[in-house]
Amino acid sequence: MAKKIAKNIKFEEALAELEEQVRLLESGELSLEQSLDVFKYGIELSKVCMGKLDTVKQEVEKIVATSDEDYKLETFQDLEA
Amino acid sequence: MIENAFTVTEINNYIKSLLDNEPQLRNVQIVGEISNFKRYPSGHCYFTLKDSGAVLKCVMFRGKAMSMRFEPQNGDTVLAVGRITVYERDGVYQLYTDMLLPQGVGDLMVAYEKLKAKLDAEGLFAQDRKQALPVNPKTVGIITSPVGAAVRDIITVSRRRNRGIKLLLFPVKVQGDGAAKEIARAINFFNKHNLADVLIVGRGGGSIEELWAFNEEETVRAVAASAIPVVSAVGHETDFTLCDFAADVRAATPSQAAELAVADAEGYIMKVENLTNRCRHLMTARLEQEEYKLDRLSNSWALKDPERLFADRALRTDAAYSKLVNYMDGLVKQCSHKFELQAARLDNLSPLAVLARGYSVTQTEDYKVVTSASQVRWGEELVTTVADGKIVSVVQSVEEA
Repeated sequence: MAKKIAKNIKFEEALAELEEQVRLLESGELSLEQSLDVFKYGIELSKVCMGKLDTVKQEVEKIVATSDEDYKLETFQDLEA
Repeated sequence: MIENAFTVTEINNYIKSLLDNEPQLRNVQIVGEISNFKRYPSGHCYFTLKDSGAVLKCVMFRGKAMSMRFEPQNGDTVLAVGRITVYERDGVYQLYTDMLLPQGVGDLMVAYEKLKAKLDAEGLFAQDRKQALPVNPKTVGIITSPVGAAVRDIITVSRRRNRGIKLLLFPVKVQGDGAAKEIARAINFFNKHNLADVLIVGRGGGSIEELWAFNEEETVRAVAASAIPVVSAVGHETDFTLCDFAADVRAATPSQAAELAVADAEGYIMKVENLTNRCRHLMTARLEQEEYKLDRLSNSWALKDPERLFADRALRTDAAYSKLVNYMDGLVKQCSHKFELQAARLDNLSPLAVLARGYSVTQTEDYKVVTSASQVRWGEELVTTVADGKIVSVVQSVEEA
């Protein structure tokens, strides 16, 4: 059965895992069933990586510390805009 | 007397060698006031350093003069660093100046070196303390002045590399009183509230005084203590602030800091796509390979024409069968020959054969074979068997012998 991806996996971990699956497939040491599992797992990892890369443009915010314990965020006047 | 005399060249050479062998003169720091400062078209600078009691001739060659960040004026009090040696042609000794620092800066340099040595001894700059930057950070914390080129450069470059990156600015004073405290507080604040994956701490370039906040103990310690990886971005290619030494990564400029901190999303997208394609390609190739194997197997004569598997055995069976049949035939023939011989012998013993030779068998009515005259009486019917039939006769007389 194909491996499960950890829910809170980091991008670099998912990328490293994906690279490892490609390496496994390239090794030619897997049975057909194992190959299919590795392949499915690799495609899932690829989706996770892409999901983490595909984001929308964000505002620049600035931190206004109201005390050592507290702060609020305000939009920073983006000089590009 | 003449024989013991030096030539001028010889004596100047000799004095030069005396001075050159004096370690103290190879690296000296001299405080004095600049006068007669002249910069020649060649780029070399000539001046004298003086105080109330004396003057010292100085030269600064083009290479050193070009990297100097201030233009010395006559009357400036400076710290000059260099070596003293003799210019033999003119018979003068002079300072070959490596560096000129305005008054005050000299004190800062001393403080810098002292603090650097102290923090270095504590291991704050050790290579094994350095953390790797996250590969694809979600949030980049920026600690710099909200005005000026540095913040703009960081935002522009970060956006260009990854438009989805979250940028969080903590505006601080980057020079003047309280700047070090603000920078240190901002670093601590980001860590305390875990607000970013990586921090960029810096400002645009400036003089040593302007960069000083990045050389103060409080700032340097905050950078070193940060659990969030820090990229220092004090805009100067050549000079290192102590923050640069303490940071996990040192960038030469704020733009470069953004390049180092923010993942190149395009590059990663290409990389992931490339890996995904390889995954697909490898799987397809594997399936084709298996399919080919399967094809080859199902086209093999064993599956396609299984009778061939038995043909050989059938031949052997046939051979065995015919051998068996031949053997049986032989056996039967042999037996029947024996039988014929025996039958022939038996035939000789048969009563029929005896009859054929002219003998006969006579029986009474109750089928008893007549072997004695006393068995029969007059008028009795007898049946006599001969070779080819039976004769019925009536006894007319009995004569016993």
